[in-house]
Amino acid sequence: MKKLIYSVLLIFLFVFQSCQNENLSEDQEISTVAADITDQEPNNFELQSWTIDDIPSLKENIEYSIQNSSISWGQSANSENIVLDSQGILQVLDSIGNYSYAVRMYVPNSPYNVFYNVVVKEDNHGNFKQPIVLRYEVDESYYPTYSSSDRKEAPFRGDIAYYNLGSFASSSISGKEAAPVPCGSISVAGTSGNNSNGSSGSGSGSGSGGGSTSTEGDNYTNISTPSYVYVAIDSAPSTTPAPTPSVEVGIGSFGQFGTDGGGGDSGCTEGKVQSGACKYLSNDCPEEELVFPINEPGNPIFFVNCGSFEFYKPPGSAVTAAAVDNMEETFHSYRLVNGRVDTKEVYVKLNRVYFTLPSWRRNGEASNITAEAVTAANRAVELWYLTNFDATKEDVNDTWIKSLKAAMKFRGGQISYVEPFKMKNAGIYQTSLLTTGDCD
Amino acid sequence: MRIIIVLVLSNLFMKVPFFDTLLGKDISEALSIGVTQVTAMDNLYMILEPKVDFFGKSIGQIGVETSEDNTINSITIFFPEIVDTSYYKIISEYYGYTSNILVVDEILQEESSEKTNDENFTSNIKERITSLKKGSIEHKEIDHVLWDKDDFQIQLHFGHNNNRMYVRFANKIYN
Repeated sequence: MKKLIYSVLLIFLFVFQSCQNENLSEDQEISTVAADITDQEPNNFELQSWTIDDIPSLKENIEYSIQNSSISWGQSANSENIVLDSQGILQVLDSIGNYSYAVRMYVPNSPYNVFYNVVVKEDNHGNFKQPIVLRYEVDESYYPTYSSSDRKEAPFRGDIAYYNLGSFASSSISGKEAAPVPCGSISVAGTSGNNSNGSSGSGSGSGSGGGSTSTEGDNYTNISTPSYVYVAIDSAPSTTPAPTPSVEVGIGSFGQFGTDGGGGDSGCTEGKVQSGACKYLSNDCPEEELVFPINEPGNPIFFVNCGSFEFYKPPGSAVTAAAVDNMEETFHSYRLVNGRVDTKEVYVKLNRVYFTLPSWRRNGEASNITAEAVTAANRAVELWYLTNFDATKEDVNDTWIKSLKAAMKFRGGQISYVEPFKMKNAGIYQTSLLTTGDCD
Repeated sequence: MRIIIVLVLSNLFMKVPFFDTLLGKDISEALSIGVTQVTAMDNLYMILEPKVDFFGKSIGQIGVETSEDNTINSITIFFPEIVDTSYYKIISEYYGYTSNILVVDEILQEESSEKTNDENFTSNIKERITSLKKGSIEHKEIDHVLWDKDDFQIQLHFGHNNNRMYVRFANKIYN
């Protein structure tokens, strides 16, 4: 009964607040966000996955913003142009009836710890708001934890820069990580442990790189969805939903939303309304309050990143070298026993090793070459083990070392446990999304 | 009429996967796909920068395993990212649907050790054997899907446990 009274009170407060929105001060707006967070218990979210063809109005809205640009739809990244992933689009329905969509966007040559989403809000009247680009940059030191953990244990920590999609599209450069000046940036402290109660990792940050700024209205809080939020797989609600890894849902207030009486809700006045969708003609910065799922690219992640290998060479040295601590990989194999399939996994962690290449290689170039070599060596061992189930874990360890040596030799280098010269630091073994990165 | 023409044209231009047709052929027929790297293991080749895709997904690398007479025993294509389980549906539209969907069941054996090898590389090593059972494509701990065709098998491995997503073609997938 208490719950019912509380819910009715909250609905009344929401309606009242909506009517008064134009007169809200900044402090009031932030507290409103906090109240919404209290409202938005994770079990009030509905999360689903779609393809872009399932949501033609969303497609139309996004395509309007990227017209005359090189951005296109696809299913995977390429090294030339920005690609919007037509698959795995996450949709979250909040308790107020607004939808938010998060589309993965692949930007060539992004750093390993960076990924992009295009986020669009559809309000409870079916009006689409201005598409926003969110650039997520995970803290480098936190990245190994982030990339290998469930979101309930390891929520996003780092910087979220935001852009108008139209201006992002018009300033994107083929083959490069697009770097227009962001409208603003929010620094997210992140929290460890279970965030299902909506604990806050918020704050207005100092901005990150590229001249980004933080505006007064910027705010971010996360709710990591618990395992009882389901993602439908086949573009339709599943009849037998299965729990999936947690998806982090962010609640953000971007730009001066709500602080000047303007903001996202009035944005349609700048464009024209067609088929219920706002068509934004200007390149204004977004002003929006959003509940959005963070749509991470393929996860877990595959390629060994060149950032693992910090090469340097002292004067007069014949080689450039990089020290790496705790290189770790898991390999697996299968067997069929009495009609039952078993899988055997062998995890190997190498203590400190040293990679060397001839000193005429630039240090960044050496990092790239080593990342390619290690990635290829890992694949080769995986293949070998697939047909050698009976190999011992020690055999797998020895074969990995042998394979790393061969892959480095193929590229004119070496891997050794012997320090080639006095090394200052050892790098952290990192894996990366889509490519081995570019450190040159 | 226009729809029919579009469908016919799209079928003409659809890239039909050809990896299964390479099984039993000489290794030379696969090497033109990209840049070949000889590995440390006998009869194992890695093809880098492959010039093909697989049902619309770009491929990171291709591993080819041969027998002593250089005929291809298996081909494994590694994807640069985890793909959605909906990719299973796309592959099934071509190779047919299968009930061989294997998910993690129970851990049978676990052990760990430390090792310093002859060249003084030191390692921590763990081994775990897990049984698999049939399950659904939506299962959180799906391991792989197996298509059993007349003269070859296809394995779609989802890579949740070891960070590698691949499709493997072989006469026999399991040891």
